[in-house]
Amino acid sequence: MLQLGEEYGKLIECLGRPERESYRVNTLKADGGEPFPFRGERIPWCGTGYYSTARVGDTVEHFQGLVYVQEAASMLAAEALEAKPGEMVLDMSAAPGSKTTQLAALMGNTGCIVANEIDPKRAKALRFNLNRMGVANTAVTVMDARRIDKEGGFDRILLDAPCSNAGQLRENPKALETWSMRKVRECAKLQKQLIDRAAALLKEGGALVYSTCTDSPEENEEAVDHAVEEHNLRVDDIRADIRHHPGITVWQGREYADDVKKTVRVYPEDNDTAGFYAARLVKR
Amino acid sequence: MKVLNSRERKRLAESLTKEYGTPPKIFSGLELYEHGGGLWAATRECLTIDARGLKVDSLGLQVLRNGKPTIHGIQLLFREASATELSEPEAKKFMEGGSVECAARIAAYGGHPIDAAEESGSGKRRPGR
Repeated sequence: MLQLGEEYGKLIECLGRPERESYRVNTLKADGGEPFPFRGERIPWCGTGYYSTARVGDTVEHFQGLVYVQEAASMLAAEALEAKPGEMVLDMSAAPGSKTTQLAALMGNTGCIVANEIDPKRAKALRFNLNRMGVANTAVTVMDARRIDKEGGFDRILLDAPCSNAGQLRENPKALETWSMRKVRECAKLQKQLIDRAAALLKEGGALVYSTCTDSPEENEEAVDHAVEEHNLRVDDIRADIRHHPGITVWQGREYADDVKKTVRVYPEDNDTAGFYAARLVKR
Repeated sequence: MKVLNSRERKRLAESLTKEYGTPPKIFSGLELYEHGGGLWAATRECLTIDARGLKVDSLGLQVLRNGKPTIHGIQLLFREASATELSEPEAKKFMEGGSVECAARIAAYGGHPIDAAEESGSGKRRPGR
């Protein structure tokens, strides 16, 4: 894991507290300003996101699909993509559907989101959530995203990449037991392959958001550096009101492209959330 | 896959109005198509997608199954319908398939449809949707 220096104490203190539950209002069914009884503080970086004052998953509103329980920091990825109504969007690793349903709401159930999932069991959970949220602008595909063959076919792509999950220690302390440098290296290899495919699938001028829930530079800045060096992609600013650290440009003797600084590292202690990483890239 | 034309959409609206006592909102801006014994709603962009190079599993949202609206179909079709408003305990009971008094066919909670009762008066949810 990344060496945090003086931040280490703050991180450990934060990891010792239970994670705050948060949710998004589903504007395909409900008004964003609806005063649900469990509504807490607003999440600054997501217009429809709130912390909750009670458990949301068992409520009637959840059953009705008026709200979606989602970790607060992860709401950043779909917001950063800035998808517009009517566009053709690809979500490369979509299950269980948190970010796909967020994109569908941002697009007002228009255009088309190709929501892909490699695992058929997880695709079932994806379909369930798309139905619950009343999403009609998706084509669910079940395949290895590296095999998607639609070059230049997408206005925007979300690549919320499979990762070593080190940012989820607060929700799931057992994640540490399965974390290893070998896993990091395997994930990093897969992530670069997925970025290679995303670069080919994106239209000129289109945007790609790459995100993970880990703090390993090998899975974050190194992947973005690969995107910039190997493809016609440039790093763009993420315009979001979230406390964060800039992407790092030097790690274990390796230097990354200077623009990698524009990417967003969210540590748990920054906003009292899970750890998260996001980069926005634009195809020239 | 068969996409409903305007005459077929009108006929569907009439049939749902007769069944539920309230006119449905037939998805303005969405296409309706029949597939595998059900009716689905999807955007035109999704229906016209070039599927070459993609392993498409499903398109859009299922709104009818064997001629009856799914829960999600009820919620979208009867979004602005007159409905019986349930209290929270009633809504939870109804959500779990229990019986509550329900004057209208559509049961709502917080002003949003939750599902349709088996028939008006009985107030029990149709199971298995």
